[in-house]
Amino acid sequence: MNQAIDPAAPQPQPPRIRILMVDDEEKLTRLTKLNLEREGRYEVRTENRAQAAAAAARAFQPDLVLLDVVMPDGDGGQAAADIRALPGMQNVPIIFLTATVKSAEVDAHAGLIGGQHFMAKPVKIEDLIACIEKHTRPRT
Amino acid sequence: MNNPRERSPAGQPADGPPDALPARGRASPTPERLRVLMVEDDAPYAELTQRRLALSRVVACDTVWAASLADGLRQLGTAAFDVVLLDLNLPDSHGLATVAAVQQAAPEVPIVVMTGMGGEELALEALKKGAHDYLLKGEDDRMLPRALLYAVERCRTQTELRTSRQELQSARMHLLQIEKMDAIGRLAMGIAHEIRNPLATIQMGIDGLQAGPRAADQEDGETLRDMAASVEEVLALTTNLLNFCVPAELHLVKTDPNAVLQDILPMVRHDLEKHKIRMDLCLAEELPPILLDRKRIQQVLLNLIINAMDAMPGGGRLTITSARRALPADDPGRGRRDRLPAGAAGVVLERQDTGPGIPAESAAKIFEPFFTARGPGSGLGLGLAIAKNIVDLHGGRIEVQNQTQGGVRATLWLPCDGGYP
Repeated sequence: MNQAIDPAAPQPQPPRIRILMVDDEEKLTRLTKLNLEREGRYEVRTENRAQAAAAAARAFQPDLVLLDVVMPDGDGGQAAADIRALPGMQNVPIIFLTATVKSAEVDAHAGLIGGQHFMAKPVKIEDLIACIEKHTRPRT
Repeated sequence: MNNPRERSPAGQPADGPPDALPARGRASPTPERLRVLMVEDDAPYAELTQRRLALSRVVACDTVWAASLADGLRQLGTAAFDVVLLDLNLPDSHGLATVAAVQQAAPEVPIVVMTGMGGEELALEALKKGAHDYLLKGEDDRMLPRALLYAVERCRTQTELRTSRQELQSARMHLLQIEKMDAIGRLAMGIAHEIRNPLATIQMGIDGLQAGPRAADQEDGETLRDMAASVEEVLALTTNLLNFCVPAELHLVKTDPNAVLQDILPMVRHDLEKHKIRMDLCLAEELPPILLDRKRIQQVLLNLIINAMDAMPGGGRLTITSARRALPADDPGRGRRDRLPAGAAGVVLERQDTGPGIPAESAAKIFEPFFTARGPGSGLGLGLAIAKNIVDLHGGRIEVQNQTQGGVRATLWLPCDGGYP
């Protein structure tokens, strides 16, 4: 019952990984979205207000959240709690992307500080992608 | 047999002596034995006084007699006394100069003047010079034992008060230092945060351009690489600022103190040669390994050596020493939470320069944050404040002092095995 495979037929693309980035720095969110989506594997939604993070997550249903810690209208920790309180979002990976820690501190603790995943700003795109890949599985 | 220079045994008479406390049941002072040095040239009076003290019920006394000031000073140099009973007119000294001489020889021993010279004015002058009491021979003889006891107690209380004041002052200064360093740490963290956020945007922009077609262009590619390198430089600057200003947890590892010194010498050798500074190394052999954060202690030593270079712009000599040394009894860390016992085992790393020394008006401020004697534009004045913070975290001590022969000696003392001998 072997089926012939047509090499010319288009291969089904795996679904893109949905990433929600919450950071008050608009320039950073715009450039990060641009760089990630250029890879072709990611769909990125950005949000610049901490208090709108949960609503954005509810609407977008991300596979992973990149979350700033210190934002003018709220704390990243609270935004993370609000997101995880949403139905189906308890286990969504959240990476805190922050300028409050040094990369040496993050590296020293293998990316985990207080049980949470951290990356230190500024972050290189290849390091960010490696981190995203580590924490996500494409939807099937 | 009755040599008055020998200590007399204190005895209890069958009949109550004139100075005995009156009624039974009254609270008496805690009995203790006073070691009294009596400086008195009148031998019969000295013997009488010795007997009076031996028979006293107020306090037991062991009295040593000295017939001249020179003899008295010699006795003070060879034995410990609780109190000096001092005649003002001696063969080799007269008047208040006698008080001054004894006080200079033993400033911690209270003096009770017992003299035939009258006059309230002289008495007050003697008290101002540091005497604890002033009694007149004949008139005040009965009060002598009590006067001696009270002088000793008063002196002890004053010493305790002075020590408490010093400890309080030291604790206040320590707290102030902690508060200042905390404020600096917060400032540094704030600055680092504000710099890293825009840096993250720049980094992301560079990454985007490097992935695009312009990166293939030689000039554009080079520009992007330069920009990326500059981002790294600014990032390293903020990291250094934080490492410098926010003492993180120490990474304590048992380390050979000499090895820490040896590590930094290559870093400074070139600058020392450039400044025509000769370096002498006197490292003790077989120092015990001590628990320290190598990078942090290197930072402290580097700071001290750079200060030495700044102090000798026209050249000079820098002596670097390491040695075992116990914590001295006059440890300046009194009043601190981590107070260590005198004699605590430790190691010193020391450096001495031949510069002009620290100006007197700056000496008390050198560990204060933002204090710099080098003028504007020469640094933030944080080096020694941070050095002190690091040494404090190690439970150590740091001292920077002018030397009588000139130059400045900076001493870093670190405890062995928690500092307990």
